[in-house]
Amino acid sequence: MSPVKKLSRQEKSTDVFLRAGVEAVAASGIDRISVSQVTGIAEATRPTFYSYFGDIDGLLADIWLGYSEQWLAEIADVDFNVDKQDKFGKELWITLAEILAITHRVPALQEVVEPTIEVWVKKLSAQSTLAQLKAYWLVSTRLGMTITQGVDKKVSLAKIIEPLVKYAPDAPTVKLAALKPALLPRVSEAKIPDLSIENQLIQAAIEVIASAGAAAASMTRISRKARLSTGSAYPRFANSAELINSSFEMAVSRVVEENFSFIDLEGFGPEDFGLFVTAGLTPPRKTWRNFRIEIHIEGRINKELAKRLSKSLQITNSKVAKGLVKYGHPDVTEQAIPYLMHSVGIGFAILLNAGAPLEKLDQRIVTVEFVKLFDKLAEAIK
Amino acid sequence: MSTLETKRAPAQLEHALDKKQQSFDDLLRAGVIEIAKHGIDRVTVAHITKASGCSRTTFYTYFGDIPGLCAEIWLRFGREWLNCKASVSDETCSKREFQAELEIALLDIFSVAHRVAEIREVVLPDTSAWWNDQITGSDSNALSSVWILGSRLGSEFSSCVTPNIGSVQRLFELFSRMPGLNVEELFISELVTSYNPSGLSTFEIDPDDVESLLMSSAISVIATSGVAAASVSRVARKTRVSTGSVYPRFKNISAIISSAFDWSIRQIVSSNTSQLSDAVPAGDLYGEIAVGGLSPKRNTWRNFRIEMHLEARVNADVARHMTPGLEETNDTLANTIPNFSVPTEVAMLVAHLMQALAIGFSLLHNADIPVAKLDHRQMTNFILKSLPQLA
Repeated sequence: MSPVKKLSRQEKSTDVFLRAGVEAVAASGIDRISVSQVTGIAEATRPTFYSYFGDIDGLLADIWLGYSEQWLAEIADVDFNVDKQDKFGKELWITLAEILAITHRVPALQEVVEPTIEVWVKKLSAQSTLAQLKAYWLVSTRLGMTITQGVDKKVSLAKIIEPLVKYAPDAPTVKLAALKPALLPRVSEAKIPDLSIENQLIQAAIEVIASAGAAAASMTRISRKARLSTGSAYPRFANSAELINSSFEMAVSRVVEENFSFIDLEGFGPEDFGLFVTAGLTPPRKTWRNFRIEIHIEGRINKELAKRLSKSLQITNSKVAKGLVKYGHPDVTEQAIPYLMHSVGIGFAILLNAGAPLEKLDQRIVTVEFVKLFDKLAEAIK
Repeated sequence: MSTLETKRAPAQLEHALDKKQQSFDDLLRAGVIEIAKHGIDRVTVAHITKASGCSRTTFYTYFGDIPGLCAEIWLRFGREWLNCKASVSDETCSKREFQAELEIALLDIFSVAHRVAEIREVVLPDTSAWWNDQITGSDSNALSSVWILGSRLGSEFSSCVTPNIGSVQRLFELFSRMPGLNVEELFISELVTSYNPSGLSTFEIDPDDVESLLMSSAISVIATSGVAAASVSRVARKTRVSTGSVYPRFKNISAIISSAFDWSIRQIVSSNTSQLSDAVPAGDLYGEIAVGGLSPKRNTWRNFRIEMHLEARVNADVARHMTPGLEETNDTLANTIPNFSVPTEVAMLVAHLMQALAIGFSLLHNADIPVAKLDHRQMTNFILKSLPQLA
């Protein structure tokens, strides 16, 4: 942590708490862990916990300060082998990814996480645009995989990002026309248009989850946001879990429908992929981006939701795969690339919230190079 | 009655027994009174259940938590309060039995909305509707409304540290006489200004100056989360030093906070006064200062100051500590006014107005009212012209 600090007896037992915190987050999810759970695992008393950390956010902040440097080095290292991690290593990845994912809504985390990311971004910015993009894509895909793995195990297919990053050249092989805002697909907030009471509640649920997480989305709060009484919510949804599940299906169908409305599958080229990624980073999609992060965090600890998420992910993936048929190599394009696109989308949303300047980079530079590598990838997979 | 009440009432009556409605109302009322008494960040569920005679279970069923209660208080009373606070005379406000407490509680709720999502999501739709009402019509009085609302909220918010700041109410009638503006006149497309506010120079701190680093961390923690959230361990963590290196320098968190306020207000005042120059017409300059204070560079300072005032209302020690710094600022400001040959009394009134506006505009800005995009020079010039009459 700091040079001022000496390794003391206190620090040793702080470490026990940090490890207990990691175990607790991995088991129960970042928004559902409690002080008693952590003190239980650590075999320590509550007063000791409070005197060290103040509250759960304090513990999470110290977990970040204690482990994030090493984690960032691992996640940005293309040769790091995720499959060889021990149990604690895996739990640590999940915990740190979830901390990073909720940082934007927790000031006590923001103030320790953002400086770390700022330093990392600054170091990266010294490299060429393509090198930066490769690093961001690698880290984002792995972040998205970590966040998604509790929902759909097949997301590990997105590991294909590793050879992509390795094989991709150091300098662009294609010269692109300047990136103008007019080139981007004009994505909207994809709000639910029909204002039946059901839909008002669903729209309110989406907004509450996006800004505060699924754990905060109670029926009382959602109906208040919709300015309806809970009395009008209950006949329509039995509980908030049901409302959350419906909100996901509605949100995803709106966004996916809109996204595919821009796409002409026949003419959809490598540059279009980059443009789509960039459009997803624009302000109108903020609610959707945050909603998607939160719903996956919730999905990891809610099996019913996980089933729905995974099912809808398969459907979206098969649509994406259709656009890739023309490149051949079904081994690569049918599953791996769609899972990669999913993961990178989630990872980008998280890094953007943490202050990475992703919206300023021309994503086409990297998508064009990646698509050229499909032959080589297919060869490698064989 | 606001439209909200009428919209929500039927559903509630339909589905809730009268008794339920009664305990909801009792809790809401107790919530208002207890927030006024303890402050929004220090009030507890226990305070409220004790005052209302309802059980904790009832409280949790209706509100979930304290922010939920605040959101319900806002929904019931907020829109009406906003309208009444933007009128020349707040005599138009309803006179409820607990009106004084209600106005304090609503101001507390309004001032933390930007950092509490559960409150924000009910406040922002109302402020945005209020703003739309102000700018509809060809000649808009939006500037008058914003000045009245801003200086009234700011003066109410500051009365705990500057008791006689309420005198700014004398000016509301003058604001209301400002001629209406069309939309092109109302907004500034681009701020061409000689006034360039600096933020707090937190980046210029010598990394070995642990004392200043701690004060700067305390300021950011308070700005994002409120005074009640600032603890020695959190400030130390933000600074990335151990709590062991805090205690030899400050004996507790209150000591850090008091020093931080002095330290920061001096930086801001000296930055502001160094910008005052004769090169720009005075009327324009004061308008530019009003906007400049809302620049993103000043975010931390603005929110820190809001939180300190919020705390001062319920913590006399903090209030006592803030007063000298603010008085000094007002004297400095008042000294710039005599150029317009007005009596000291009027100069002080203008200084108080600037103090109230600085807070009030910050509050409106946090509520997404586009104060930073308005051409305040129109108003400052209008006021300067009318100054001699005021005397």
